[in-house]
Amino acid sequence: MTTRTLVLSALFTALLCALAVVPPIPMPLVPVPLTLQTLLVMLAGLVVGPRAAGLAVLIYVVVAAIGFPVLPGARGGLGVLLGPTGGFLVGMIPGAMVVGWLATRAIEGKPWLHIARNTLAAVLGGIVVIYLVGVPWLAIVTGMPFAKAINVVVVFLPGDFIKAVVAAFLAQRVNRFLV
Amino acid sequence: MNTYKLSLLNRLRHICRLGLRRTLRQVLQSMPAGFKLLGLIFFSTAFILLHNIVWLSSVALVMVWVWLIVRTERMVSWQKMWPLALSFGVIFLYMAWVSGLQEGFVALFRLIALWAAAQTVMLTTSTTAMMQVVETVVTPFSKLCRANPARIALLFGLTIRLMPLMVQQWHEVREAQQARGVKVKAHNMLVPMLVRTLNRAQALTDAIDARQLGETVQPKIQTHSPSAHR
Repeated sequence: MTTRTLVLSALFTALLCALAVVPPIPMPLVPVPLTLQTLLVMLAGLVVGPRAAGLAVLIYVVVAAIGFPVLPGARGGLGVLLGPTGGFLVGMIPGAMVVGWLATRAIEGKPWLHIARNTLAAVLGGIVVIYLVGVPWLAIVTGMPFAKAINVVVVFLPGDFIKAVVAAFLAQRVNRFLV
Repeated sequence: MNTYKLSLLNRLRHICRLGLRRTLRQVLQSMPAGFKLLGLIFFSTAFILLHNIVWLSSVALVMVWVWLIVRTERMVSWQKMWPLALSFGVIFLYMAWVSGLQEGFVALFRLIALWAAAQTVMLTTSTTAMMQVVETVVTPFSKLCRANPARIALLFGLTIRLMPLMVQQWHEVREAQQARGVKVKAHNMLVPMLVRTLNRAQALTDAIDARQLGETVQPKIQTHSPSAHR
């Protein structure tokens, strides 16, 4: 683990924890403020790469498991992680790594292609992987049939798609700043 | 300095209160960090099993009282607390709406108790102590994966130190955006936050490399010759 990976992971874990106590802020196009957590996980993957992002989310989940109130709404503890929404949190670890693996750096002269590819990366990692872990977990923990579990979470999909697009846009702007 | 006559009873009360605060703080600070963290894990799991409102509210009250005693600042700053109070209020209203008033209160007391317990642990445990615990826990596993326990302990220590900095950074960015007349929305806040974070990363990386922190397992404290230190 290079020092840079270590520092980036620590920073993003700290960001994830800090944003749990900050009031939810409005997103573009969505009237309801959504939690920034998934958005930040996608951004982490897009901006710092798979290793640092995966490590950051792993440490975040460990800190939440110990009991510190770093989950959105200042919640925490093993109880939340082993509960119905636990899968969506644990799934963020491989999700961040997948986003990082599939993300691309700036593409010369074609910002739209860059954003499109990063949106795809964010969707595959930030939505598909997380739901692949979260939905079965939800079904098993609550004992509800699989189809019903899917019905429950379908409500969140549009918001998550918007988050993926926003993440790709923001990552592109961040990369422009730093280049 | 203001001197005023206290009645004997008030004086005794004053001494007791001072004594209690100091004693409790000392007791909590001298407890080993691993013990406190295990206690936190136990609490956070036990709360989920507890459903009795009376027990939950008493535990919550006790934890808040302990937290208030252990704090070094006298007054509770409403400016810092209102986002937290807002989140708790929202969760309470949501649970009350979905599962009834009792479930709402159960959720609220659980949140308050856990939050106060975690704050107490954070206030009474030094970062070094926590890093030591992490290193002790990780060392047996370091033979399985090629992980240097000192690096992982450094990672945890850094994360703990950076959390308040990130909150402060958030407030700074928010004020800067408001000063520009820009509305506080996700896309306006996150880009400055990330850029500042990544710039900070470079400075931190250089500082850590320069000091070679976390390179080896923590060295034993070197005792200098008595003459060198005075």
